[in-house]
Amino acid sequence: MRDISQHIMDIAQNSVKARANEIEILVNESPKEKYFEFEIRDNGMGMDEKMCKRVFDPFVTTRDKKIRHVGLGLSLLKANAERSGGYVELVSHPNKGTRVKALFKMDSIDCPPVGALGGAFLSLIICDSALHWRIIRKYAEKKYILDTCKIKKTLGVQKLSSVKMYSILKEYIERLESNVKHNGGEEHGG
Amino acid sequence: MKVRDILERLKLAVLSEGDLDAEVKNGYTCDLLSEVMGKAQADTVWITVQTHVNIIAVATVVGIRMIILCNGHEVPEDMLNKAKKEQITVARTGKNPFEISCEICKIGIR
Repeated sequence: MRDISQHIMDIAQNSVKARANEIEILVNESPKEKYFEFEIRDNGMGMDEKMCKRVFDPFVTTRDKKIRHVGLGLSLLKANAERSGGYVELVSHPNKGTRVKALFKMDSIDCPPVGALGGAFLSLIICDSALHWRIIRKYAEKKYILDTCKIKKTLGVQKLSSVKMYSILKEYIERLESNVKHNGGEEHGG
Repeated sequence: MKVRDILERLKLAVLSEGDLDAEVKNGYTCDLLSEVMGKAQADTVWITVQTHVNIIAVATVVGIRMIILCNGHEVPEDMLNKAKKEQITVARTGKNPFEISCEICKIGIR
């Protein structure tokens, strides 16, 4: 993964594959304390204790081993986070869901760049717009919230996956990202 | 060129022996695993400073036959065990990635 935003997309897609219908992403960037953390919580199928212990092994995957016998997402995340002096935590319960938390130390020379967070959020929302996404993005003391149920209600639409919605959301998320980093944040449906 | 020919000609220390008769047609030098997954070709000798079990997983996905670890870094045991299981040859050199890439090029792998 070239940057942290790609890790966020990858781990959130695990939640989609785990048949979650509610996915919450918390992103907390602290330029002052020089850390970047994210946490992804879902209500998907979860994993048992045995699987949780093995899940950081790149040769372990929950998918069909005839197609691919490696699962690199979590193991790459762990390696990258630890290389920066950070960590990854995973808690999961069968039929309840999974929580993955990762922390990167941004003052480490080996910390990957944050990347295009707005683009990552947009891709996740558009690709699986039937799901309830709740994204809380904090930057220093500022934050914004993207809640797809509330966005749909506000806009009076059933789905967000059309070309028109893509343009609207793209502009909206770009503005939120810009505001949170430069002007003081904006909140949606929080 | 076979894996065993590269080992002999470059006088590399073998840490894990895979299929020594596997044919190597390409070389790739990179430490970013996603780049290797996206851009490296099959039947490649991969030159890197990464020493983590994840590189073996990437090598199996891409079809990399041999990995040369540079700058003489220590290598974890679990990585070598996986390499053996996946039949990927792992060698180590004290040279840096540029130097060893040049040598690979000189013996005819591009």
